[in-house]
Amino acid sequence: MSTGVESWSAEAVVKIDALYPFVGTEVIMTVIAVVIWIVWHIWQLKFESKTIDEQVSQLQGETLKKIVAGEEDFRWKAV
Amino acid sequence: MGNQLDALVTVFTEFYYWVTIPLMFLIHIGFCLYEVSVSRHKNHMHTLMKNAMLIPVVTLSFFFFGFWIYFALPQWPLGDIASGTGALPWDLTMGSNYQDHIMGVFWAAFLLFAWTAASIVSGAVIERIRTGAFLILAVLVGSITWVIDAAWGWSPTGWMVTELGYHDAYASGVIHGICGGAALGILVHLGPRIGKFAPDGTPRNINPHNPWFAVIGLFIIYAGFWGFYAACNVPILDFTGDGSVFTATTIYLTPTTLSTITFNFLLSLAGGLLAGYTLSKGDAYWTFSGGLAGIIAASAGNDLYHPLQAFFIAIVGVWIAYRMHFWVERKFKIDDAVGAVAVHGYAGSFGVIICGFMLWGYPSLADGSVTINPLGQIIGAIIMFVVLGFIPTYIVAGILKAMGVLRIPRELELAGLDYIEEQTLDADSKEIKDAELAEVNN
Repeated sequence: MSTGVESWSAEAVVKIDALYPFVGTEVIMTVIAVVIWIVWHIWQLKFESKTIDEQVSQLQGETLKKIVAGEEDFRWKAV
Repeated sequence: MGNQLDALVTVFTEFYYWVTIPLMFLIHIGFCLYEVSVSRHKNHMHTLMKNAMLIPVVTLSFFFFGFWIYFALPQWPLGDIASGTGALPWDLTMGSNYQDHIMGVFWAAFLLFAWTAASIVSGAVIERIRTGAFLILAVLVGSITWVIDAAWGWSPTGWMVTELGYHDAYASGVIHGICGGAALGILVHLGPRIGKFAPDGTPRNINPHNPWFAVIGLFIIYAGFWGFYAACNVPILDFTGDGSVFTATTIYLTPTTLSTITFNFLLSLAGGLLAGYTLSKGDAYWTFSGGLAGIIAASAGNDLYHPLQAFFIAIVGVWIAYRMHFWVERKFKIDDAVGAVAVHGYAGSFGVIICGFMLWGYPSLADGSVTINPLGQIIGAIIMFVVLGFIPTYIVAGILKAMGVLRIPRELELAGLDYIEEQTLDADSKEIKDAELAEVNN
């Protein structure tokens, strides 16, 4: 039983190409990785929008004026 | 003996490219330091994270399809995409493979070019772009458009080379021209930072929060640029095929020497620094940016120029970049926070065009089938800056803007992208301090 290379003998080494285990799974690994990549981008866009909306809701009116003026009496309240 | 020589060439080439990779990593470190320092304190951590996160997304996309584009698309219009390139993510050569020692090293060298491409754009748009939007644009530039231009104009089989005689040895247009154009395409939609322009349209200075670190960042980019230059060469090639002439070559497989590019890199840096210092009356930021722009302006022909030619070209390139930056800023209200469009776009495009005049008639390819000429270089510069640079990002940034995900809201920009995080950290510190005081008082 071996997931890949079975011998490092001189005769075997010259015939070895792929060194990684589970040769033949490249396409399925690619599909999974592409899905992770795309889902991450979607998650990041949603996460960022949600965070921005939460923050903007607290950065209004007098609070915003004080922040821009450098008055440090505002404390973020996690939603 | 032949096999031993082949093995030696392979091992040397493998190691040579591998060494360029950590050197080029310095470019990204430099860009991060530069951007973070140029941003205001209220935005600096967001600026860092925006730039840092392009590393995983561009790396993944470059593994999925970016590298494949380089091999698949040299011929007009879509290359021979049906043929095997060995660069698809499921190809045996795109993994640990005992029969192929060099694919991963080539891939990484090109990947570092891709990071650089995305990072050039990153600096221009700081302090108001959303990270998610930037990362989509980073994939567009880093893993699609710049690789298409590399396939077309930075390969001995690329159609711009074989048909136009295009020559761009160290990527004045292939990296810098396209990225300057790409940054401009985004900036048009993104708009200036709040307060950048007075009501009468006069531009105001938004100063870096740490000017000293900003120029150190540029210094580090210079260091990384050595790796970039080295990676653009083939280090050793049996040029005649019979073992009588071994030489380093450009990416077009035309002869050059490491000595040539060392001379020219340093003289173009010197010209750029002198020009930047003189034009800006000693401003540190523009002096160091001038050094970078000088190298970029001479890069297209730095495989063949005389060192003093590289020096003169760098001076003219920096003059154009500097003047164009402020003219475009005033005329079109473009807020390019780090001068990326000028340093990379204008200096790079100038470098491509002047190369056509300076090296007019030189063979573009080793077989002499086509020669470098002004028209080919002018068309090439337009393809790089406008067709593959400006237009794609202008379209995608326009779509992101229409979706409402391109720019941060006004309130967040005014308070600062780091404001909430810093307040949270302050609150945490206060809580700990209160706990410590309580312990002392018990």
